[in-house]
Amino acid sequence: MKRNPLSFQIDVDKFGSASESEKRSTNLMRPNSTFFMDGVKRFVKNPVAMVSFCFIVITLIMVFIVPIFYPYAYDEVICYRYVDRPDGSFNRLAPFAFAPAEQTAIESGTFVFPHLFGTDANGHDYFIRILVGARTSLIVGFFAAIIVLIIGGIIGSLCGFIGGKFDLIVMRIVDVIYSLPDILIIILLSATLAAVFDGNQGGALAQLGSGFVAIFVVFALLYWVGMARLVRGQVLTLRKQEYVMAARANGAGTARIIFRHLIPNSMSVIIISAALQIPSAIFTESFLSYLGLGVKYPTPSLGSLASDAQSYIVSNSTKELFLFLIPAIAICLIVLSLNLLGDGLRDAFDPKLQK
Amino acid sequence: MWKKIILYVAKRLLLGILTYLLVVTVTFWVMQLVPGGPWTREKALSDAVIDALNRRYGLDQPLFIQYLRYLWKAIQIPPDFGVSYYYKGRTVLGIINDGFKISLPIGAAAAVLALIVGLALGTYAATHQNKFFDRAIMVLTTASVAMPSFVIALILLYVFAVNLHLVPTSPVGVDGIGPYILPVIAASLYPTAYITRLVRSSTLDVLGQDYMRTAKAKGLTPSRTLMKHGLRNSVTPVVTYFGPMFASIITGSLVIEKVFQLPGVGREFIRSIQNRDYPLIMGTTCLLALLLISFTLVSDIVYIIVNPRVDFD
Repeated sequence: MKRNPLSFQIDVDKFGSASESEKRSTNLMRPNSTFFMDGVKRFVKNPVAMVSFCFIVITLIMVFIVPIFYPYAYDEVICYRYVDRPDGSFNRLAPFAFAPAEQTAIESGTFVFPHLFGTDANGHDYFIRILVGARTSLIVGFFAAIIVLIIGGIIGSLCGFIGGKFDLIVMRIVDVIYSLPDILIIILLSATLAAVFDGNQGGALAQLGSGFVAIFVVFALLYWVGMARLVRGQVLTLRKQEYVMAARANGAGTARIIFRHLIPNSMSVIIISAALQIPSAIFTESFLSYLGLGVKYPTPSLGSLASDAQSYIVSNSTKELFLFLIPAIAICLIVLSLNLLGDGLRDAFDPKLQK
Repeated sequence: MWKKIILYVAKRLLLGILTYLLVVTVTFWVMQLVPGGPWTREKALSDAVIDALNRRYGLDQPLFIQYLRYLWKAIQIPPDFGVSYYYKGRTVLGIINDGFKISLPIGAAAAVLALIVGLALGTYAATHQNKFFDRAIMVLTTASVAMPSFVIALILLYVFAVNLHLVPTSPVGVDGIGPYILPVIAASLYPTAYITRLVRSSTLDVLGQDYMRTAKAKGLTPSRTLMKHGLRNSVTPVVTYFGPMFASIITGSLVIEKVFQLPGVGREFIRSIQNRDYPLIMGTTCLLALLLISFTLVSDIVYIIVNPRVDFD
């Protein structure tokens, strides 16, 4: 209907009920964001943490999935030709070189997967040993962290909840254990366990190697104390918070307070500090492997691989130097990225952290 | 106030003694787990000889009596850990003493180096926050904290000794301090990196304090402000790191003495494990632990001197 532009007559259409899209435009509430989502958002914006995260993911894929498809096993002897070596050691293949048997196979037309890093002094494919070695190190770190988390978490929360005499006694024990020289005890234990395992060969634990078991035992015996202190502190501060009192005033039971308030609020701090145990355990394992107290041959770990290759350093053989450098750099990169990842997680998920 | 300090020191002392007793106990009982007695050799000894040896060293007594006797000897001054099973006719204490003649100077030099370099770098990084040098220092320290000490030591050995020939690769038959330069540097790298980060963050903290602004406002030069008002406060966290630093240097020395073939305590400890020389293993563990515990104690006491605001809980 045509209207006079100067008319004061009211346009009735403008007073209809609002459409859905119009209603939505007036809504000032943003979609709900949880604490977790906020943390993820902060984490994604941190380039250092993201790079470490990607590196860790790639490493995990490499060490857990690639060995399944890789044509060689870590303890498979590729090249067992003795050469004129004074020590009679196995022939070490250079990267991309083939053993004589494989050479004839290639000539007859079969495809032989190249040895990317050649073989080590015992004739094992070095690439798969690096992967499996990294896997060993990561598994040590992960389980050590889990052990610490469980034991420290249980004892710490018990201390926080029960309090009183129990708390006092346990905390004094924690003080003493805290000041024990950890590395000395680890070495002592792994040396003893090595002797014990030599006595009864073939046990499942003996297969793992004394250093392995010693690390777990020591983490279970000694390193839980840091976690216990942390958890206890968390419980003690959190239970005094106003929102816990408010929840109690609203009639919430103990279980609800624990699961709705205490655990969500302390979880991030606790998990991050457990995650930071992983690089420290990897460090300890490589240290023990270097001293010859780590995993047992043929199981590789990054530390034992680097330690096996150290003779090339002193003999200044440039061609074999990479045998040392690859596991050494792998340890550094893994520990570095785990440290940075842990820091990034702390920055993203610990809201009480002052900047 | 004094009463509180004395109480605090007494408490620390008691904790240290308890820890030492625990270490002695742990080493004793852990060693009992080892299968076979100390006389298990390649060539089996006759029963009569073993009996005589057991009687000679008191090993025919019940375990608990042996434990008490061991404990009693371990708390003597100087402690007595018996004789080595591997080195004929040498006492454990004598072997450790010889080792310390090499290890202590290296450890002390590494600690001093780490303190000086760490303090300098940390303060510099904090006063030049977010400049290129600060960034570079942070990247370097982050990286070096992630490197196992044997990797650092071997790389140093490869570059400076094997390739550049600046220092000898092995101390055998060499006079002077040449062979000890790389071990000191290798042992100091981790604590240096740690102290640098510690000092940087504490100095940054101090620089933001009101009294620093006051000092600046009354006309002090930046360096004087830092030296007179900042340093003491920014250094206090380093004092608490003394104990752990010594621990990390000892731990490092185990590896570093192996890499550089130095006949120190660390190498002796590793050897004693390879030789299954149990008295030496126990003795070294206990003595190193005692050293560590006393260092932690000293650093705790120094801390309350440097930082009088300490909370004696």
